[in-house]
Amino acid sequence: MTALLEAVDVTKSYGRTPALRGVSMTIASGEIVAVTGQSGSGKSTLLHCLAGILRPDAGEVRFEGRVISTASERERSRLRRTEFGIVFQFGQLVAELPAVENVALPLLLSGLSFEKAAEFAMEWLERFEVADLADDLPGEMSGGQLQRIALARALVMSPAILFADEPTGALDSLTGEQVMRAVSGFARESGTSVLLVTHSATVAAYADREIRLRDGAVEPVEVLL
Amino acid sequence: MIRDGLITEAGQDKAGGPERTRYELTDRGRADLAGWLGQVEEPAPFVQSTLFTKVVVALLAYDESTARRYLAAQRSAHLARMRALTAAKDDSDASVADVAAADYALAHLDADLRWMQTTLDRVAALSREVTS
Amino acid sequence: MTVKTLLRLALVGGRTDRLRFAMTVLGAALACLVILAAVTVQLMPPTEVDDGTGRRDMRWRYTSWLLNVMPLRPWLVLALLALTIPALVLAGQSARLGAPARDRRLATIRLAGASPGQTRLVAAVETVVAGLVGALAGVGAYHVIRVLAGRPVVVDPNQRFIEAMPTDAFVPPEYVLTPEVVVSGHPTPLPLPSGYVLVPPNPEAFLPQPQPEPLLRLPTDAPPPGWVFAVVLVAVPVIAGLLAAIAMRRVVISPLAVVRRARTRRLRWWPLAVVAAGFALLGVHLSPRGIGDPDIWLPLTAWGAVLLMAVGVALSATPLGQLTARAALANATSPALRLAARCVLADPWTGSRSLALLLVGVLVGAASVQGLTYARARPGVVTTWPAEGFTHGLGQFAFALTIGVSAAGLLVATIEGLLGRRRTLVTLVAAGTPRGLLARAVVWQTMLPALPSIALALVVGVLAATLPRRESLAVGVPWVELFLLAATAIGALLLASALSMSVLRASTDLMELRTE
Repeated sequence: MTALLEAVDVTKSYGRTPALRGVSMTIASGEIVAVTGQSGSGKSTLLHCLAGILRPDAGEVRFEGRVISTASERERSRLRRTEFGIVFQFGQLVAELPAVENVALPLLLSGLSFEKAAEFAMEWLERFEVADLADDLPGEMSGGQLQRIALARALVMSPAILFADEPTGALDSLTGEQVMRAVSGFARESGTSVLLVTHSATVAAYADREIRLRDGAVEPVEVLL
Repeated sequence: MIRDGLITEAGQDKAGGPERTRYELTDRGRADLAGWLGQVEEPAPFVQSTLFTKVVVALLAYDESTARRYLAAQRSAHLARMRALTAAKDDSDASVADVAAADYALAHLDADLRWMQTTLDRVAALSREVTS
Repeated sequence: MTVKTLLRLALVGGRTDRLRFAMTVLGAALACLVILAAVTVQLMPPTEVDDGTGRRDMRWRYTSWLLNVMPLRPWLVLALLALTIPALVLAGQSARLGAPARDRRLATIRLAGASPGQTRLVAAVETVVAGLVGALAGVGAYHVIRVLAGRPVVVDPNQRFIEAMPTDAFVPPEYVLTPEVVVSGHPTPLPLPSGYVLVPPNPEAFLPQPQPEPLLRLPTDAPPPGWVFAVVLVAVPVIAGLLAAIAMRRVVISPLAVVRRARTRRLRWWPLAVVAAGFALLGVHLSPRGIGDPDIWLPLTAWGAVLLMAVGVALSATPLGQLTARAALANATSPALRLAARCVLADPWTGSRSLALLLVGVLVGAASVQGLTYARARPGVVTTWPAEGFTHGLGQFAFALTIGVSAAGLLVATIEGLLGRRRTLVTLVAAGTPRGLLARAVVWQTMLPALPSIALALVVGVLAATLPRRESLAVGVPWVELFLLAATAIGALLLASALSMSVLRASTDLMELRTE
């Protein structure tokens, strides 16, 4: 399979603290890849660099063969709106907008009319079984509901890749399972690639393969005998 | 093990108690140990005792990076099993009992992995303390 | 983004956002009203007309001497325009209310894929809409005032001169104060309180009116043409939006967080250089030869010098604050003072904007008070120096307003700072730091930059009034008035600090330890 997204020797430091030291990896179309590691291993930084949120200090990130790590902020914002969907652990919904408008946000930013965008958004809310919360504000919802709405927003533009950073970190096991089943179910069905950052093995078990980071570098996979 | 030529006598200790004999690994013993450690344990619940012994031995008989390699291999095996169990939960004819059993296995495998990592970190910290 | 989307994203918000919107509307409305007043005064038909034969036709239509005396008109317009500054500052400062929540919202919008340009647009649109609403309110208020103040009032014409001219006020050059003169055609000399008599340039031209004529309180008989209103309705929102964009220029909103790009914290003394440049320009203004056409260069250099001095003094609050903070850290042992000094060094710019306005007010106040001292000591000497353009009443009003608005702005900045550090403060209190210590630190944090800058403003103000008159300070320094000036300014700052104490108490309520 050809690589949809690849990191080539990506290096990133925060001031004098190195976060990533020459990390290379690929994600193919339709794959679910888990990036695991202890806290401080650099996995969130890797996600931010791959999703175009941060620019690496050295190395390249390529999407569909094009280098995106040196693209302008406008171009990377456009990618985040159309080709990449991003779900974080929390804090990703606009607290003052009702759920349906939160999900419709990327569509609205792309110029779609209010009515059409809301219609689209409702379809996605129904798919994740949170349609009855459409007019409620994020402050009135539970963690699992919030994550499913965030997921709907991340997927509303049918992106090529879904980036998820500790999506179940704040949730209990059963609710977390609900969210992960929604993610993997949708991914398999639509062929969307997923990059999953987590420190939990049970979450990583939803992926096809694991890339483990330690101190900013990829730990080689060992197969003995 | 002396009879099989895996260890030899290396002296007598007499530190305030009954006599105790120290033993040393022979080269053959070392190779045998490497073989035993290199064999990945079948991931299943109640594998703890063997796993525990293996980890401790790996850490004491070898250096940190070797131990890490063994544990990484074990982790891959554990994860592969966890993937299979996770997929099995989604199976349309899995009953509640099946799912619960899978959850049980998953929880224990996850615990194994976390314990391995913690112990590894602990040893790393200890060896840094010792060498500094 | 469609317009509907833009408006929706810009105007969504909770209680604090609505408060911010309301305060911006208020600032914009006041600015609009003051601009319209200035334009009205500028476009008023003349009240004294030279008919070409050396006679002056006095057509005084208004009750207030300020509006009737023609040479005063440019000063009046300038004073009104100067009042727009506090109004715009209010609008600008209120844009900082509730900024953290708004910035988080903008960061989320960035995460959803908005480009940096789109995000700045959303932030600016809120201010522009508030500016438009405020401008409409200002225009409406203008017309309401026109109707309410439009009824003429009958005043005994012989009383007009007597009550309208305080002696220690700015006297236009054409008028002369003499001990006594009899106006031909007039039964008795017109007395003035201090024993002087006012004589208009052509006494014969002044004839008492056969009957009292109704006068207007305000120039409601001369509204500006319609296009002026259109221009104001466009200009005020646009300016408000630009100010908001400028205020946001150091804020980087990334999808992960909001980061204020920190400026280097080296001491920068260039504001003092600006003050020196102002004095240099003053030297040019006073030099006998001058450059080129005096009609252009004299007022230009005068106003330029004033502007440079004002800007320099206003901006010197930052380096002076850093200087005193460093001195405090080197010498003081009081923990409250040391804490305040560290806070000032960590962020020397918080609150310095409101302090800037206060300092300009103190400078102008000091200059006018000093100028009055000279005027009283040497009657009859008149100059065109702008420091005396502010008459007693108008100057005091402008000063009071400036102090009030800048104290309000300082309050906003202090509260914002406290709310931002809430978590640190709560932890400190929980660990046993007495609240009294934190309160004292807040007061010191305001005073460390304020005290030296107010002193500087006083000195520059006094010098600014002294040099153009080529006076010496031996004539007299109004110590009492200067002290009162400084005391009012410091008092306003202390009041702002005291009001922020209530916020401190609420923020450090230990119930806040229960995290979200």
